[in-house]
Formats: sequence, C-alpha cells, structure tokens
Amino acid sequence: MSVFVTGMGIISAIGNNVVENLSSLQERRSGIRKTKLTCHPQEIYAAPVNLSDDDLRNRFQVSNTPHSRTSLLGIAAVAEAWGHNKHLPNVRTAFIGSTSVGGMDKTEKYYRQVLEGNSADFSLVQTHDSGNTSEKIAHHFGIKGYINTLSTACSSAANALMLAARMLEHGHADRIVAGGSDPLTGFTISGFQSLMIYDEDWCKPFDENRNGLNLGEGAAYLVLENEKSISATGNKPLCLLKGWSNAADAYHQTASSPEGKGATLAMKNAIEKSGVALSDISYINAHGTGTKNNDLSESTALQNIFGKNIPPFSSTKAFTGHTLAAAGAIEAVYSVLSIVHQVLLPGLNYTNVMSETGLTPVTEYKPCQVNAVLSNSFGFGGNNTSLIFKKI
Amino acid sequence: MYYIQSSAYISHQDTFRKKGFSKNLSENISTLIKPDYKEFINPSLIRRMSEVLRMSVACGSAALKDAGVITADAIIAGTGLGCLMDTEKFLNNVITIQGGMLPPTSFIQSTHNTIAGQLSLALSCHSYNMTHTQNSLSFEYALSDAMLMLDEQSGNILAGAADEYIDPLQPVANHFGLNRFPLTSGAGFFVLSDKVSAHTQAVLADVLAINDSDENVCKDFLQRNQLSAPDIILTDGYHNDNLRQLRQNFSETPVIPYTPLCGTYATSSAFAMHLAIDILQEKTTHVSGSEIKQHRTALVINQLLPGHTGLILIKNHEA
Amino acid sequence: MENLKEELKKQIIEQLNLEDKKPSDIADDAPLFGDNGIGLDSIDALELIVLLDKHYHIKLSNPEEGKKVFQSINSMADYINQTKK
Repeated sequence: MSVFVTGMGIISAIGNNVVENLSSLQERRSGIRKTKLTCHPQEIYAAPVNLSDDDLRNRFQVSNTPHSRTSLLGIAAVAEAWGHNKHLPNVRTAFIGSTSVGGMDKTEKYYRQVLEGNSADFSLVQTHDSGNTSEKIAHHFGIKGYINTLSTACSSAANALMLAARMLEHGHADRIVAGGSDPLTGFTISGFQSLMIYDEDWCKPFDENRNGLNLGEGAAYLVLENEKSISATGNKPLCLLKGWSNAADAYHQTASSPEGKGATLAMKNAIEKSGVALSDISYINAHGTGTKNNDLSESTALQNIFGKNIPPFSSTKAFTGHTLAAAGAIEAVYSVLSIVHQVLLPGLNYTNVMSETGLTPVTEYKPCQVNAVLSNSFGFGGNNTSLIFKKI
Repeated sequence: MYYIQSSAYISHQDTFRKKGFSKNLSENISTLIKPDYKEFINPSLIRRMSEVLRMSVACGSAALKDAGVITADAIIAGTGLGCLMDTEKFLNNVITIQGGMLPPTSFIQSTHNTIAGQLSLALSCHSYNMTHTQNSLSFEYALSDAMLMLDEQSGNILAGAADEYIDPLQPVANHFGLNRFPLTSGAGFFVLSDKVSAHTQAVLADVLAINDSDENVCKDFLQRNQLSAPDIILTDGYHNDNLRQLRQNFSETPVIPYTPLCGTYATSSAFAMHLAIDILQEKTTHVSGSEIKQHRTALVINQLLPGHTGLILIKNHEA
Repeated sequence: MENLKEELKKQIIEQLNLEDKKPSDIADDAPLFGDNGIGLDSIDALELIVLLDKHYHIKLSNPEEGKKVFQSINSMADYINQTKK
C-alpha cells in the first residue's frame, strides 16, 4: 500500500506558510538573528517565529482556553496542511503529533511563580503534557479517535511521519495528519548552552569552524493518505513517502558515535525499505545542526552509505535554526518542495570544508532533476531516523 | 498472535519478580517497593539516573532475562509526564542560578526518550527505539506500536511504560481535583513476541487507545474479539460514575479497581496488565474483595482521564 | 595543597553523584577519565567545568582545554593554583 503526501503546512522563522518558506530558501534569507527573547536572560542567535501567541490565536480563531505556544504553532501548520480536507465517514483519519518539551513555554512561567512564592496561575501548567499539545491541535480540526504523540528529541517529527506511514501501510488508518511542534523556551536554550554546543554566533553546518547550533521554533505537518482515501477525498498527491527507518546509536547519551553507527543504520534501512537505488537519491536534507559532533558523525555515515558518490546535500538549519521536535517535519516539507519544484536547497554560512571529510554541501538554490530525497533527523540520546520521499 | 513472554514491574505493591503477588496485595501503598538496582544496572550509569530511569532499566533488563532473550528487536516506551525529577531539577537551576554555569546532566536526562534511550545503551540495542507520550494512553499506544512491529517482522519487542512522582505535582493535582488517591510512581516492561515459547505467560489479544469515552467503544472492542464479557475486568476505578456503569454493564464479571492498589500516575494501566497476567497465571480467586471464578480472559479498562479510553485484552495462553 | 585536593575529591563526588565512592577511593594521580581510571565521561567533563566555576570561580570556556586540566586530581589542583595567582 503506497503512502502519498497530499498536504503540508509549515510555520518557522523563515515564513508563516509553505510559499513564504520556499521564497526565503530561494532568496537565501535566514530567520536566525541575534535577539533578546523574553524567556532567556542573554542575547543569543535564535530563530523565533514572527507571530505572538495572541497573533496566532486571532489568526486561527483558537478558542479561549489555555493553549501552549507549542499547540498554537501546530494549529497554524495544520491549518495549512489540512486546508479544505473534510471529515468523511469512510475515511478513517488519525493524528500523530510530536514535541520535545510540550507546553514548557507556559510551564516555566508557572514554575517561576511557584519558586517566587507567588500564587501560581494553574492555567499555565494545564498545557504541560505532550499529549495535551496534540489533542489541542487535533480537536481544533475536529480530528478524533487515534490521537497520539511521540517524543524522541530531535527525531520526533520524523518518527511521527514514520509511524503514520507504517499505520497506513498496514491499513490501520486511511488519512493521517503527522508532524511536530516546538517553541523556543528558556529551558531548552539554557540546556544546550549547558552542553556547550550553543554557538554564540550564527551556526555553520558542515563548516570546518562550526561551533554549535542555534535554536529555532516552529511546526510542520503533512497529510498522508492511502489510495482509498485519495479516491474519496480527491486530494492531489504531491509525492510518495517511500522509505523510513529508525535506529539507535546506543553509544552515549548526548554524543553520536564517531562512526555514525545509528545514522548509518537508519539511512541504510530507509533506503532499502524505499526500493530506491542509491543513484536515484538526488538530494539529501541533512540533520546538520552545526555541532562538531553531529556534522562529523553524519558526514561519516554518509560516506559509509554512499562511498565517494554522495549526492548533493545540505542542512537548512542555518535558515530555521534547530527546531528540535519540529525539525523532522519542517525538513520533510523542504524535501517535498525539492521534489515538487525540482530544486536543490542551499545550506547557508558555509565557507571552509571539513578537514576530516572533504565534503562540500550545496550552497546555491538550483534547479535539478530530483527523483528521490533522503531526509535525516538524528536526535539526542542517539535516536536516528531517515525518511525517503520520492517523485511519483 | 502476540505472546507476552515476561513481565517485570516496580510499583507500590511488591510486584517485582514476585510470582503470585496478586494473592498478597496490600492496602498500604505508601512506599515504592524497589529491588537492588545494582543487580540490573551498571553502577557507573546508576549514579546519573533518577528513580524513573532506574525503575525502567531494571525492569527492562529483568524482562529480557526472564524471557530468555539476549537483546530486543525494538524498545518501545510510554510515559505520560516523562522524566520529571530531572526536568524540575534543571528548570530550578535555570531560574535560580543567575549568571553561573548550569550543570548539564539533568537537562540531558530530562527528555522523554531518556527512558528508552537508557535501555538501548544498557542493552547495546541498535534497533527501533520509540517513546509514546499521550498522557493516560501512553502505554496503550506503545503496545499498539509493538504489535504493529510484530506484524512487520518476527522478533522480541521490549514494550513498557514509566512515570514518576515529584512533590510539585501535588499542588497541581489538588487544584485540578486529581488527588482522590495518592500520587505515586510505577514502571514496567514486557517482552512481546510473535512466537510462543517455554517462557510464555499470556497472550496479548488486542489493544485499543482512543480519544473517546463512549460506552460503545468497549462493546465494539469486545465484539471484534468475539467476547460478550471477559472473565475479569481491571479498571482504573478513579471516577465513581465509570465504575458504577461498568458494574451495571458487566453484572456477572468481577470489576476490580486498580488505582487503590497502585496509586495515581499516567501509565498505571501497565500495572494493571502486570496484575492481570499474574491473576490469570496463578488462578488467583480473590482480589480487593471480588471473587474471580474463571481465568481465561482479562480486560484492562483505562478511563483515568475523561474522554480517553484504553483497552487491553489479555488471554490465558493455556486456555 | 593537600586540603585543596581533599576538597576537590569531596566536591567531585558530590557534583558527579559518585554515590559509592569516598575521597580515599580517589588517588591523587589516578586518571579520572577512561576505563582505566575512575571512568568519567564527556558529560562529567562538562560537570567538572561547572564545578570549577561554582567553587573556584574559574571559567573554562573551551571543553577541549578540559582534557588536560581534568586528567587527575593532581592536574586539577595544579590548574586551580596556577589560575588563581
């Protein structure tokens, strides 16, 4: 049973919808800037979405009950992805969301009140749990029944897409809205700073002098359907989700193994699942966070799989920042765009080749025949997921 | 067919590797009854682990040993609120340490997937590693994923759930009226396989997790499993209305509330599954004042959160 | 110097939650990292950087520098003494 991508929606620092994101990628306009966010004491390079919670509520007519920013961003992305889809009696629809910190944007405010000994506003902690994040989004679109949330740090949304594909393949649903969302929070910014992998400058994925990541926020969701659903909905397929795999590094809690074991396994198995030949992979949207560790580990894994014939690859994280759980879905949208528009997407801020690998990423937005795209999302705790999207 | 090869659970009852514990359940659930973690976890890893991680790795390791299996073909965990102790610790540091450096360990340990991640490290397991976090249905979704995995390929899947209590939960529970029973912790893992073995304890017949609380959900579930009523029902029993309704709908079936036995936490239905397996295997005749006459099928009905229903059907594999 | 080393051992045990160790278990020249020593890893290295800041107000901004500094109790004590001058 084939898995078709029929809809997508995205909100990130480089645009509030697909068209804006594409235009930013084409015009090399990054959303990362040095900024003082209310959730963090220092100025840092980060990529916030340019809409406040109230803007999001108003724009998408969100009910006046507690919603985390995580849910609001998700609602924005699903609004675009879901578009004119309708609920039909013979189309079983499910929702699979993902997030790494749930409603932490509000929880950290609640907890500060508790520590300061003020009477705490409990509505701020009501939206903490990850499951609630997905429910708020799904309910906004009238989706009931199977509503689930995955949380595997940076590979979360890619895993949501993978689970959706597996469920569709085995006939457990007909149409699934899957993706992820994460906000910028003091918790995560401080977290990555404590690991000394937060670049004090604009991040440089795959560059010799890279010095860490910059965080971003956002959400992206895809609508995946099987053939039966498409005949009922009449939705036009954009491309196929053809291959997927998840593998664990089992090396160390925060570092990826230098030989890129988990990454290699994930890519190898995803490619095998897809049935696509190595030579048909036209573009790789890498995880490429800009940390010393990830970019080396991922490059090594690419060499393990492709040898000397590594397809054009780039990381788009110098545009969007690392959006944690949302990254896998944001980059899935970019992978689909690569296929739909037959283009390679540029990596920004790259100057010097990595001495260990000699690999150069794509740095220009350029037309290209694109058959299949490999999208990587490699998470904290060694959770590695690769997806293969293919032109129909 | 999905076979439960082993089941290891740590709770506020004496459940860890205690065959027949269903015959000795206590009304006193004031303490977590834990094993010597050093028997199951490398001391160099233990030092960083919060309670939820210690429980999970101990149960995961024990379950694999008890199933006679060296490594798992997938590790799938469910958790409602994740690693709370480390989350709170790091958040506390973020707010209180002004200008100084922040110790990173609690941040690293705070992500929801640390549970499954630590298991993959402890077991050197490179396979599929997933964490489901859908509040009270996290465990049922983890089980569904495991069953889907076994449909895709033969093997042994380690599936389970964990949640831990921290003090800051209490005022939140009080505010939202979720303090009817003590807030507690619990964790456990089960080895599921598509093949029966000498270790097989029970059959996992069917699982459903749904964002719905309609009475028909349960009826339809039983119907698709060709059952008019199971021999035993274990239910959260948190809300009196639900309990009353179940006893009315299933007047011939012992309906046993499990929250008074294990306390309140998001993934307590995993405790119920562990209890169900023991009741069926040991043919326990009395639990919490209810008489159990038949031991062929047990249904766990999880309605802990309004609007959410989790159903787990276990069958005696010898039946 | 001896006091400093003793203090360091206590602080390390506390910071890294080395539950089953006493200061007398850590020899002054024992390698702190790697399998042949106390068995610390890269997360511990970051924690030691925090320790230096918290207790000695020394900011080690480059984790790479840490490799030399954190070789043993001796090297840590030497570094602290040198930096505080």
